[in-house]
Amino acid sequence: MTGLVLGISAYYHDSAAALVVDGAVAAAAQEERFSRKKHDARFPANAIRFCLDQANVRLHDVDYVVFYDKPLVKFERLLETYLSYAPKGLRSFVAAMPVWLKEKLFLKKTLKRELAALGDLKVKNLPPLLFTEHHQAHVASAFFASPFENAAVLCLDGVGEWATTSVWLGDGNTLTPQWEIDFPHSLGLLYSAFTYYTGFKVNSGEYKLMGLAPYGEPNYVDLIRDHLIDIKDDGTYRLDMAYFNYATGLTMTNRRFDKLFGGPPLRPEAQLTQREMDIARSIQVITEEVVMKLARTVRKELGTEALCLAGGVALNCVANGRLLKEEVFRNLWIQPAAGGAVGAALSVWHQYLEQPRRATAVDAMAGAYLGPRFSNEAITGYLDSVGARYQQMADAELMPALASLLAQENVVGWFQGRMESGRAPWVGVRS
Amino acid sequence: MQSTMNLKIKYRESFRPFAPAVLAEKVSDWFDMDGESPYMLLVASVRDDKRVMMTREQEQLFGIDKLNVPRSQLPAITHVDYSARIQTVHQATNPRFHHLLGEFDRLTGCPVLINTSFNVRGEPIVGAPEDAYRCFMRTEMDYLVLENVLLEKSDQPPWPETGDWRNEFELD
Repeated sequence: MTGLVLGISAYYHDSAAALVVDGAVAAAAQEERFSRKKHDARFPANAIRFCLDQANVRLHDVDYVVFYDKPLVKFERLLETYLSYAPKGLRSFVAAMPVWLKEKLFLKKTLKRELAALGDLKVKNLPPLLFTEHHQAHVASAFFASPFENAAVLCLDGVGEWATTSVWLGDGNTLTPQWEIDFPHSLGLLYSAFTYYTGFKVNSGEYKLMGLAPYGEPNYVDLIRDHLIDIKDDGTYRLDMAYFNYATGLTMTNRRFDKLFGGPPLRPEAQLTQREMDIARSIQVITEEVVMKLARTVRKELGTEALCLAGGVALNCVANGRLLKEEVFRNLWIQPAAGGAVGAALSVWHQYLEQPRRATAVDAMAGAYLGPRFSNEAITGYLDSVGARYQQMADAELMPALASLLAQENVVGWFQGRMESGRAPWVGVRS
Repeated sequence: MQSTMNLKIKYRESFRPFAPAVLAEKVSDWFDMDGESPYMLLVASVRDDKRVMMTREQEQLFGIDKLNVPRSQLPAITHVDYSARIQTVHQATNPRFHHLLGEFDRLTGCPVLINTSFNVRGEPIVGAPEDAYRCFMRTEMDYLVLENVLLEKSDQPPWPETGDWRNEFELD
């Protein structure tokens, strides 16, 4: 069958769009790259327009539009969490509710209105709108885009709907859930709690915490293990929620946590000290321990040669490097895009429409070069309009010239080819 | 180079090392890795024979003071624990970057370049040519390549700026 599936993620962080044409990822981009607003979470109108233009189609040509989150499940989780922690959580419940009511519960309506405006269509003429679960999308993006015919999939996320850690078996065009660990027990949120505590921004500062780790000593590992997380031999774990505030409050950690680590969270931009470096190293050690143990368990249980990693924790490239070095699996693949939009679209194609899948030697993300490209004409057109001075050179002449400029320690801005898509970008087209 | 680039170009914290982009064919000559890492999602160590050992006094340094001690023949991308966040560059998916690295290798004997995202701190990575030119003019970048177009900073007309643009982007 031929078909067009448009995947959208929005209203949480980093909204994005992706277009799958006959099962292949034809285009994918994040909205922030067009709107110039970092982590832009608004409806990704620019990214959608780009995806459609890239494939030379219009919205009414699309067979299905899919959104990567089932809004009601998430809403139920919010309600249940607050109910089970009530009345402690009442204050943040009051603060959070109106946003959820306004934005999330009426999401379907909002999405349809935005899509209709973008496609210049009446709502009743829009392509059918589907929803996939958060984890479903992540896992689909990690496996269906991978170069493997079959693989185990380990998803380590902050929060999806309920599952924070889940294991799946991918085979051909199917993904079968194996087991999961549910919210509030979350390795991703544990890492985020330390991100918050050391003065970095949750959801984007995690990689800074990881970068800080090698400067520190693992002095807090025992403290974390004794109080915060109980790690079993198989890698499954439970957090002691008495130290965390994210299930009920507006911050990640609470006073008990502060007392344990000897002071309040570091203010953003405050001078980092050896203490923060030691904390960074310690939580990195704990993270690696859980990831390694979970991966070994999955290998034993499912017996596959390959592992796909999904979710925020999969961006911990230090842990990933260890997985590869210690050869827990023969092959490892990690989806470079945030996964929501791409995964939702691939999930519709292979799971909802039951279309076959054939793994390719190079993965389906094509180096993540899935964004817009600009011609020399478009570039010189712009440069002329601002009076810039430039010269045009063929590659045979340009590349040796650049090599010699770089050898003289010049800093060169490098802009060529299709823009990268995803969360771990700067892969040599906008460098 | 790491501290200079962090502060001059990126206006970001100086403790974060840069990532190396390396010719996929030559990754195992420089790093303890023989597979692919096209998305910079894997960390591996700089090979023993490319490392610079520390003196006893340097071993005693703690935390950020270790940063200024060169750890390998590739100092700006080698973390204090000799690790590096690797991007392997492949002919099939990024032929022009592969071409550039090949030329750099021919000239210098080193198939590795420092690679960082094209943006300043807090700004989304550039998307369109106008974003790239603006970022080029605002920072102390020396040259800019846009497809087959080469620009030199000292040739450019003055860039009109109103207010302090560094307040434009919220810090990340």
